[in-house]
Amino acid sequence: MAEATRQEILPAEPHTARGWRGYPWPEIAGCGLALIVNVLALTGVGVPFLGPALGFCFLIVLPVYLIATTSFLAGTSQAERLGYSLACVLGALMLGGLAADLILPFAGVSRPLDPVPVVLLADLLLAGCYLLRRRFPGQALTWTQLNRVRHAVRARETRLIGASALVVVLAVLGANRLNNGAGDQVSLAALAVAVLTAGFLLWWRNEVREIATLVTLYLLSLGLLLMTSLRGWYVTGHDIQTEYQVFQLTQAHGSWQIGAFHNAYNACLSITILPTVLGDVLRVDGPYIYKLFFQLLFAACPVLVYTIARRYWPVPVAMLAALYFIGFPTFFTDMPFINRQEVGLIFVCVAVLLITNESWSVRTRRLAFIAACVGVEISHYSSMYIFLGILAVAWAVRAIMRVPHQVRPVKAAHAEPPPWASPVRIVGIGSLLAVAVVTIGWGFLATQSAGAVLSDASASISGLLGHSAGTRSGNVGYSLLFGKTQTSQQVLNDYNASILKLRAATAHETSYLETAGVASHDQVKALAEPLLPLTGAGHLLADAGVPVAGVNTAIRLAAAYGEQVFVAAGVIAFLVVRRVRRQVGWEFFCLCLGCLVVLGAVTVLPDLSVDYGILRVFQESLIVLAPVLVAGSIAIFRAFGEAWAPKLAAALCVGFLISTTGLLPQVLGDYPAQLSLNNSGPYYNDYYVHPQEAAGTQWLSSQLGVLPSGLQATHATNRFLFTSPGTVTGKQFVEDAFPSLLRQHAWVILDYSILHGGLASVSYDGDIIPYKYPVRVLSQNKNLVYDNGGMEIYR
Amino acid sequence: MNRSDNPGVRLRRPSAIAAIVAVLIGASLVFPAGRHQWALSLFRQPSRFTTLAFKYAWLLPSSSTIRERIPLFFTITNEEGRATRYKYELRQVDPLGNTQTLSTASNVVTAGATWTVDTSVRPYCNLSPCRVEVVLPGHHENINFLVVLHAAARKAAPKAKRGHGG
Repeated sequence: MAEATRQEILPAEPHTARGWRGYPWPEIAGCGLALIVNVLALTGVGVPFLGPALGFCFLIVLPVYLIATTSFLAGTSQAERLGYSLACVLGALMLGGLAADLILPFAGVSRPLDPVPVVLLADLLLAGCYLLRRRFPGQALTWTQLNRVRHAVRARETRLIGASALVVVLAVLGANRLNNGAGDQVSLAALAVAVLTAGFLLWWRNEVREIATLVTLYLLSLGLLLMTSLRGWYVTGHDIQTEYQVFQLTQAHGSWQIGAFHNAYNACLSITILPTVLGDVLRVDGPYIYKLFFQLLFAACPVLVYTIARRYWPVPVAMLAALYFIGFPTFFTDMPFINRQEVGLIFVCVAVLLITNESWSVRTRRLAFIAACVGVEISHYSSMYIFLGILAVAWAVRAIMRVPHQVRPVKAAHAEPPPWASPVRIVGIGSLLAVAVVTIGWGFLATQSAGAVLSDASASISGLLGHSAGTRSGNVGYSLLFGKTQTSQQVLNDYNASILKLRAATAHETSYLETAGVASHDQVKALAEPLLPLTGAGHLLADAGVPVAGVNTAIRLAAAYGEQVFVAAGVIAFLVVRRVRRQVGWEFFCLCLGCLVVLGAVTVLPDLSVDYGILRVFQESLIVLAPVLVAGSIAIFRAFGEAWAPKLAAALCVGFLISTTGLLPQVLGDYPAQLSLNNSGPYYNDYYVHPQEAAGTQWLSSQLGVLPSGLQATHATNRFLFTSPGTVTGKQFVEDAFPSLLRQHAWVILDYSILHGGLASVSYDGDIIPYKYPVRVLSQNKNLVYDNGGMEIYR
Repeated sequence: MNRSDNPGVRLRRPSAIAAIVAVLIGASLVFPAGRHQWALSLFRQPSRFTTLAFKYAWLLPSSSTIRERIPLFFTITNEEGRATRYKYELRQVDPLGNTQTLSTASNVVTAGATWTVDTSVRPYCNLSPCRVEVVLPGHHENINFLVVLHAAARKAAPKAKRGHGG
């Protein structure tokens, strides 16, 4: 269908068609763009909005276009070409930057990632893409074709694209309003339009062509991502704080050095070299590289998930699969704060596309697959470990399935071997070994940053054998496999006990506040997360006797459990119904089993859910499992009849979307506030950086004795790392200011949430536990040396 | 062509919708409240706050003798968006909560500017430790430090352990 659509929209024309003044316009536009961006980047002149937009086109859009229109990718769908070429460009920027970083110092260039070498690298990349396309020309885009596309757009397609573009606009405006202290109305409107657009996309599925579906999905995803990523005028979020630190470290040094900060984050080129390259060319404030431009890239991921689903399933299933991927809360509440995983998942999608791409030769697919895995590894170590686990299980499953057919070979010489007996597969032992070598080579040998994976494995095995207690994140409570987790108070007590042990062990070298231990042991109590107040609609329901908090929680749990049940149903359908199994092919089926086994392992084995994040693993697994989930839901609803099954599955998906995006809890109240819609709630308290806090951190960087380890704070302590070019180092350390951990001579930050709500939080074993902070412990024992109403600093 | 019935027909007058949206936006810009809402949606609004901080916080003394001069450097930064008259009070507070004002002064600080105060105090709390506070009447911000005061008889003993000099 994709090919038919392409033919319909873009009828074949000779690539030599000439445009304005007899020259092909892409070359003219490309040269002009390159010239402008070179001048802007090399002179350091900043043109607000236009400069970064042109830079992004120069660095990403134009190379992607050039690669996508080579004959290499002929025969693949538009979205697939987008995925391959985007991965090529991202990989080239990271590896090109790495090559420059390693080679240029020998040529006397001590800062190889400064703007001049980076712009020259980008010029080389663009020239290479242009020459590649000239040597292997595919179908180019011409004015005539663009006009045909414009005239061929249907009314409903226009409405869908217009509505999803409106979601993006409202998301940006809504985030700005919340940042300025205004209300949630515009963000709420963005969510409402997003859900409506998703509903109409499903309703009009037969009248909307694939290109319009892809654009709609991209814009919906982008809107949801921006709603979260644009919160706050500074770097907001959990992992992104350290990601920003390593980015600033690379940019400040003008080079990437793993020795400057020996940390797994610094080993990810996606958050060191890639943002530095983007920053040098785009000339935009550092935080917006992550807040905006990484989201522009990651919004392509659901489009690729749709494309993967379209390999084997019809349009409605693929649409629902993409919507389940987008609607999973981790996608829009956490992924904008984990930029290295965003880039990593793009490469995972491309790797899965390559595994399932049967139009290319096996050799090409294997080589491209290994290259995509290199992209995953240098982008994000955890995504690679999870993906490697999935691949290993998939390989093992297929090997086991082949055993009976090797023992009893096909008798008839002319008979076709069944698919699983075929020796041809992408995830073979050779590919698997190559990927393992890449993982070990980069993580253990090149960067020596993968030690944590061994200690995690050791702790996990030890916990499984009962040699140690082992811990599990509270998020496994959403799992059907392991529903019971510790209470918040139990986690806090465990944390306190570990601190008291630490105090005892280090008492000879560190002076702690004497009263702090008593205060924490007896008085620090875990608190429940504050809930949003009931809204007007919520009051109406409550007056009618409906427990609003219960309804919100029940729907969320139904979504969590429902998705797991649907995945299980989908896999069972594979196993039971041969027709369904044959539909997807064995390699994809084995990947599904691999995802399930890895998900189960992360849930059940101790420690893994803490270090890798069960929800993030599920998000990665959804790349493969999302269509299986949809197929499972349709299979379950088949009890209501063939005609009703897809309709009910679609209705349920939209229903989940209304809840999981935060629309329903926001309309009703009585649920923890979501950062994208409120200036309150756990993420706001923990991760939002206020102007007063930024001012306080800047003041602190001018004081003596703060670094490397003389600073304590609560909540996400990495918010207070010094990231300006003059102060950023890889040796900073902000310790938790838990009352029993307070040191006599440390600088202690009381942040906005403590001063205005009294709430602090501790992050332990993958859980975030709020508690009431005993401010008197500080005010009675330390000097209050800084106060601006939003931040107090004690010493 | 019947646009509403046939999904295959292209929407012919998107410009009409664009014109209506433009008129609505234009109309909203006529009213100050509308302009304010647009400003909230499009531009970062400045945050209003006042910062009070010791300039060399790591040099604050932890002990001294009664009525001995302790030099103090602190800053008042005006981020209120307009010129503001700031009055500071230097006070001493003993462990029982008895408060005495040691000195006071005021100054007009322009928006975005910092007033660096170079002064000194001679705390004389009867009970120790004595807390020396800098407060801004009319503002919530305050800073303070604890100092253990030794009796005057110890005058010949070494002076402040850590001076708060520049």
